[in-house]
Amino acid sequence: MEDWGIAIIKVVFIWVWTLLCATVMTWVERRGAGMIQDRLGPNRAGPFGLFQPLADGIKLFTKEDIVPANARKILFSLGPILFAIPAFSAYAVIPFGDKIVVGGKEILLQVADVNVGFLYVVAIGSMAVYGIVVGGWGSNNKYSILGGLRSTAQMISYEVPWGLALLAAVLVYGTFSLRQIALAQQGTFLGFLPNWGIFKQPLGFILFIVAAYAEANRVPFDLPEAESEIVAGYHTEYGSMRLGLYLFGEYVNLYTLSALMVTFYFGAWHLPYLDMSKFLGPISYGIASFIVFFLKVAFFLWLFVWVRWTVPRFRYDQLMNLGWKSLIPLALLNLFITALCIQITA
Amino acid sequence: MSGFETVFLYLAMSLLAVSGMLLISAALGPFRPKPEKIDTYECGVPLLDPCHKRYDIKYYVVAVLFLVFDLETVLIYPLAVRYKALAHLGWGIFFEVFIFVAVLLAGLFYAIKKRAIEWD
Amino acid sequence: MAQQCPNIPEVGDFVTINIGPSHPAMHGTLRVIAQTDGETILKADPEIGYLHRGVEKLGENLTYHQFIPLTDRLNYCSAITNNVSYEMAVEKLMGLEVPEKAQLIRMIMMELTRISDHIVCIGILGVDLGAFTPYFYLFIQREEIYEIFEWFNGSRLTTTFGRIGGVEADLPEDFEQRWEELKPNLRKAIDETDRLFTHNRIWMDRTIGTTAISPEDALNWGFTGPCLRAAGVKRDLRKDEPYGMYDKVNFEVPTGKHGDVFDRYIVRMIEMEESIKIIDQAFQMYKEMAPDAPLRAKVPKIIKPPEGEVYHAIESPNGELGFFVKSDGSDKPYRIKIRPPCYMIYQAFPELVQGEMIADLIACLSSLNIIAGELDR
Repeated sequence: MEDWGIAIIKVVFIWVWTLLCATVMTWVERRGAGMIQDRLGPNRAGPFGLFQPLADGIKLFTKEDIVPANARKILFSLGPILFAIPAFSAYAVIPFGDKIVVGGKEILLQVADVNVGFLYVVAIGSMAVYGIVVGGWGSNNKYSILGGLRSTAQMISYEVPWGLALLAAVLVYGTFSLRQIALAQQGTFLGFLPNWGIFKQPLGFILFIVAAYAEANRVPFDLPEAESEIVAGYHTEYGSMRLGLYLFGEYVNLYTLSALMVTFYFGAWHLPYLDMSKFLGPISYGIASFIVFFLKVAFFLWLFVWVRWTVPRFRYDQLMNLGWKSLIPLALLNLFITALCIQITA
Repeated sequence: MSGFETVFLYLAMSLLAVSGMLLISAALGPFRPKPEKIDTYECGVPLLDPCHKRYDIKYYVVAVLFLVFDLETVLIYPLAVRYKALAHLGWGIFFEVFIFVAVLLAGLFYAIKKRAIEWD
Repeated sequence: MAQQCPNIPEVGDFVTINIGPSHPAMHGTLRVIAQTDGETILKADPEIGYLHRGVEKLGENLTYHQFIPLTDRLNYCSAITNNVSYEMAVEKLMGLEVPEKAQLIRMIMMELTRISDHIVCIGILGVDLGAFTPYFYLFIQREEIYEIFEWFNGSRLTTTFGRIGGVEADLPEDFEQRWEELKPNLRKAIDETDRLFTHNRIWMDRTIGTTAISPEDALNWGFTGPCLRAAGVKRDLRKDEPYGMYDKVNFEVPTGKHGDVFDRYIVRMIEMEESIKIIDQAFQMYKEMAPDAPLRAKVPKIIKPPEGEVYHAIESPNGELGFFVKSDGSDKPYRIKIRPPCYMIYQAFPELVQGEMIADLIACLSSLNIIAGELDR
């Protein structure tokens, strides 16, 4: 049992940590773009331009907070809040390491190990769409409204395969607790593979990662903010920190989605063929598990950047076709095959 | 304490921080509205027509489909978490899943056939 | 406050989306008013004239040489072809014979311009479809091309290249070295773009079949250049009505089949490759010339073409770029009329995008390579 003090420390730590990662992520994205595109990227603010996110943050804080005269004021103000709170809160049930023993006390490296963690993630993940549609509608601007509508259609379409892919994984692990899912991936599978979700759910992982890109409004699914068509989509009219909340929210979403990929499919904090807890002390094991988990997350964050600067974007009808005609039937098929395999091996 | 209080703590933290960020920004930023500045953006020309019109029904068809499919998916959740335990009892549970997924697939193919998700 | 827009009738519940003049995807100050039903475009109404500077009228008050800088500002992505086109029209009016060496220099420069113009078009098409990276790969090489221009006459974008009757200077001494350095990089950038785009599933889905046009329609609308060739009509002024020394070089004229965005893209890709070949051949011929061969025909200090009128067109990167010049015998043209390729192509735009989706409108606009400077003049 943990007391309130530790709980508060963990809450503040992981909240700040995700925000920090999201902030650094903006830098990684731009430097990564520079690297991929044979140019420098931001390199003026601090070493390697590392303070660029800080400068951007200050800029966003000190900008004038413009509310368009025609906007629906309440909805306009509500939009970013509705978007940011679920985005920032989704990490509450996802582990970020195994456990650490300090002063005889065992502390789980997870804000809250609730038995319905999976449900919480799915539920709060689907809240983000309200922020977008409310913000888009409240802006009272055609580009925003179109962006909001597109985004809504896209996010809810891809939520079905997203949920179904995770559901098949839940079928395998037999629990909703993300910590139990992470723990279940220790050891080996079939004697020679690491016991990771990806080897049990290869199709599920592909479906999940495609749907995750759509959920996060990332290229190739960045239609809601396709700047060449509808200016900036749902946040065309936003400025100042309201825009900042949308942007930060998106990057925090990326972090959460990457962490979910790692937790469900890439063995969370486990290294393949190696049990760290056997030869590391209680404190160093905790730190090592945190680092391993974070490195895996960092890889998927980098993958987001990599994909973004490689492929063009879909058109609305192609997006819908992909979601409904390919991903959802495949996700249902995956569910069916998983059930069959479990039944046979039972 | 069970995990849920911490989750609420986390939500409260988000709410606090988000409103804090907005307040700080409102306090730090200047406030000099001008008619041109707070006008609706329309690519540099005055508004052609009001924005809150009726938008295409096809966006909403997707929403309706989503409701159907997501709700049905939710119904599988409890089954999924208990599936491993129930699988030991025999093939009955598998056929239940099979029928459920088959019904979903049939519905999906019906929707596709009705061109509910085609744009034109 | 709703602005009255005479071109668009008030129709029910359809949403009018105004794209431009100040829109991130608009190339320059173009404006399209699109009546949409959700994502489908029912009617698109392009409005032109936001960049009208009265270039033709201005020419009437300038001497023949003074007009050359204004031609830079037509299609600012390919200033050299504009310059040369105008100069050739005046030369034709005066009956001047341009020395071969000058013609070769012009040819090399024009083909470099063609490459840089196609780079802009393909790069921007990629950006408009959401793929940023090839844009940078290509633009780094375009930068090198501009370095050559700068080396030649000191300016990069608005070159004011050539003089009536020839060119102002010889190629820089180290042109060969620069070109040999640039060529493999250029080929590599084109190849990388090709690998990132041509067989990319998303790219193919987005471009194949969008805003296609039949060869008959393309001809009837007055299409020229890559857009016409993409529709399957093998017409290239360099081959069909050779000017300069284009009849002495070997090159292929690529054609497409469907006239869709993909064909326009692929035609431009192949043309860049062909331009590299032309430059190689032209430079070979240039090297065989005597070093002190004349660069300019005998031209009087004050150019006073005889009374008369002339139309001369060349194959600019965008299509047929023609200059009509009428002289009354004085030192200033009586009338200048420019036939920009964009203007004719843009006429077909509403018909091309009708029934397509909003995203296709932008793809179509980029692939047609509409340049506001040339369109509005």
